[in-house]
Amino acid sequence: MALFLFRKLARALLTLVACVTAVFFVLRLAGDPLASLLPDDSPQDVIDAYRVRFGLDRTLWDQYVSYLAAAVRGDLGLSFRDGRPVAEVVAERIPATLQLGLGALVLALATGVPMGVVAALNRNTAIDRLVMAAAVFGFAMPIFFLAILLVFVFAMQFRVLPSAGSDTWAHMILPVVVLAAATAGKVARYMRTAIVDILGQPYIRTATGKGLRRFAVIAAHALPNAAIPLITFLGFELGTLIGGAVVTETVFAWPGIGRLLVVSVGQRDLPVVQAIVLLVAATMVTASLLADIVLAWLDPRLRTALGSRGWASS
Amino acid sequence: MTAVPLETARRRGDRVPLDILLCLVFLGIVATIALCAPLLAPYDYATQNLTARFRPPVFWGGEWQYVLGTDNLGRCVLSRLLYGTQISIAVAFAGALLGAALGIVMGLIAAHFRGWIDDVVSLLVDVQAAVPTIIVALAALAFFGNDLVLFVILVGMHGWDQMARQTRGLVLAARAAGYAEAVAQIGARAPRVYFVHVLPNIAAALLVQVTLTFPATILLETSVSFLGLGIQPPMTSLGQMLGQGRLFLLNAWWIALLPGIVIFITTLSVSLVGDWLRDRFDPTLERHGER
Repeated sequence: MALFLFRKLARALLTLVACVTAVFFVLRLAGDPLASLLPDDSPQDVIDAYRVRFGLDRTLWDQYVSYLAAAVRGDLGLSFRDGRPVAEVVAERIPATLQLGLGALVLALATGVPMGVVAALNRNTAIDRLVMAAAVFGFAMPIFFLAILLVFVFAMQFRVLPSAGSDTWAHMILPVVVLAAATAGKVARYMRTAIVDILGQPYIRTATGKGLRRFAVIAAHALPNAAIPLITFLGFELGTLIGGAVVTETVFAWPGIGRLLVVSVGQRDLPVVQAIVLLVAATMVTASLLADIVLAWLDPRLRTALGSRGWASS
Repeated sequence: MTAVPLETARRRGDRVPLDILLCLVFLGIVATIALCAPLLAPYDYATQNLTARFRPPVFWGGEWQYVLGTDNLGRCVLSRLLYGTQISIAVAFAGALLGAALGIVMGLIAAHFRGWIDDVVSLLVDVQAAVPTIIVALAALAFFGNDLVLFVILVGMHGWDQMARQTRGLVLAARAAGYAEAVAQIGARAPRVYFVHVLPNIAAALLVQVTLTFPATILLETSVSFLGLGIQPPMTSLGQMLGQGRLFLLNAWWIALLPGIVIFITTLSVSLVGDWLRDRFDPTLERHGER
């Protein structure tokens, strides 16, 4: 287990360093940072002064090392827009995104898991087809279209829910539903496959054979075994949720990271954009590391399989 | 090379189910529109008619002059829908091809060289997987400015990591199967082994993988354009129509909802066809890899 942890941790750190490196070089490829900062007709001595101030007169390697060191300290520069530290600008948006994301995750699991189980238990019946049709509907629906459709129906036609903002709990309902829909659909499909698979296993026959009631068999034997691969799956889904949050927050004017990203891209506020990219990368890598550790803790067989090579984590 | 899956299909003997048939018909229509939008459109997509703004579609009490109504600048929604479909499908298609090519090459390289090169490719896959493509795309558009070629490349990055993973696994399996080894033994060089012998054998599985990532590719293009950061006016795309039309949702719902419906039915059809292809030709393909 110690070796497994070490390998996983080293791998996660390596991935993060690679992300930071990629961002650094893409930034340099994007051209002279001063070109977007200073007016076009700036005198040469002003340009030179800024060059020294931002360390652009040093070698690329020097710049890279100090960039890496600063990134580790969480020092990501100043926002072009209002001159505040980027870390501060980004940090104050995190709670809103977490609220939205966790709400959506809970809703997706609370609807997706029962849907999948019901479909699996009624396999190849009308119920199964109905539930699975709803699931496909959920994840084939473009998130921005679902958002607009719900705004149209609930905010404009029936006028029961607010269409934008974050002042009250009612403001949370539409964004959370929109963000959860795709994940709920995929969870349902995933659970159906997993439960159908598990119901054919010998230990389910044993449990049924020793006289356990159907409910007990499902709750005590089938569900825990289906939950293990679900963890890996949710690790993948985090990316969908983060990407979805960008669109959802924009449509509903939700004051989170996604909205900040879209606004910053529009204004070419590069320090904020790169900070968000690194934050997302760090979140994803940490989540995948945690998922691997939880999996290995639940299922010792995976410790050797998962720890061996980078590719095995698929 | 395509004879293999077709034969399998015939041997199984069953017909194409009705829902898949409907999806294929719809995708055929979309493909036709994508190829001949200029011939089908009654007006130019950018021609404004400010005396005919916000005209409703025919089925909502409008006139036949503008079958699907007009938008806030009096532009024909039907024509914009046709041109928008063309642009969206073209960008997604070019992106999907690019992503598939990149993924296949990376997967081949990893499987052929193994060792540290394999490790480097797997690290690149991890890096790609660590940042959702839409975030990468938005960041790159901020860094480099908006540009159509760049946008296509960014859309193409979506899914290359899964393609590389899939290709690597399939190539390793093919090498273990012996025929690749046999061809190499009689003197064929590596490129010939891979491109003439191995790739045609794994093409069906790779094609299924492309079909499975294609809906997400369409959604990536439409999402970024929806946010106003992808396809720029005066060009149009389905996502952009939706993004601009949502401002007029209350009074003229058709401007935003019609392109939304086209996107939805397209992604739904591709998803259903992709699932059907996978279940048919390669039931062993992993189900949970889809994102």
